[in-house]
Amino acid sequence: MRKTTLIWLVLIIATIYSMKIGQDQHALSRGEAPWLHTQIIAIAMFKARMVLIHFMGVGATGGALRYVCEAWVLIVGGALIGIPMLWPHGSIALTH
Amino acid sequence: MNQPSTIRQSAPGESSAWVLYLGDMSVFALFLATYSFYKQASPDAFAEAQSFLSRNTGSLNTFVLLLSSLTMLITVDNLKRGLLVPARLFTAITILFGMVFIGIKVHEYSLLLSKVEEAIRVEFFTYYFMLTGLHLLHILVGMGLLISLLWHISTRMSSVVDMRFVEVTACYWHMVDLLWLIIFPLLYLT
Repeated sequence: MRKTTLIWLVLIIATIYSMKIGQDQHALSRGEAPWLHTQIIAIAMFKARMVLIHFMGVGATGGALRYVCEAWVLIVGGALIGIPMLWPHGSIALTH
Repeated sequence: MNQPSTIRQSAPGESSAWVLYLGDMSVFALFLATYSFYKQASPDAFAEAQSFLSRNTGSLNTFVLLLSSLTMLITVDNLKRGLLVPARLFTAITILFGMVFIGIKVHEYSLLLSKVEEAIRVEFFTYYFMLTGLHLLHILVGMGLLISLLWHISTRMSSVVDMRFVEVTACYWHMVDLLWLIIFPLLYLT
């Protein structure tokens, strides 16, 4: 339980850090802070992985389930970080 | 669900439940990726709409869910040790945190709808209400599972508790927390 509590504290600290860097509203709202976006999403995916591995017990299982969960974190994190890089602000023209 | 020193052969809870968890998580991932893509098409409109969201409210809900995850972990730990009384108490506290989350979310919805005229027609809010509404639905399902768990352990006079049901419920609740840990920064912080 002690290890789990420490991991929970890491999640709290990571959340506070995300909030702190996310407060740079001016830069973020203008889309001029891709590095901040990358950091915030990377921290979110790190937290998601911690929950999967330590809280949901995936870390204690060997084999397929762990690989699937690790792959999910990598793919989702890669997509959420990659989409703004592949299509920068204003590069998509959609007709509604 | 402390990580034991040995590797277990099966998934925590039921293997079939993991199909549901991973399927659910993948559906959310698709919605989140779609939101990210469309945000790139109208960055200014999305940023303007985003400014109506209260980061403090979103943050508060994040801490409430993280606290509920901790109380859920304590519940499982107590049940593994056969301690039913503290397990009941911490299950009830987890349910209470779930209710607090729902209360804050409903309050946030009502504030938004009163502040933003025709919010439902703004593209950002379509995604916002879809993502957070779907998540809220998961919270309600999780609450149902937690209430069933409380009933289950309250009707057991001995320490004979179905640990598979406990793990399925705990994993579901942690999954709901995990999803919010991604939804919150994407909608409120970036």
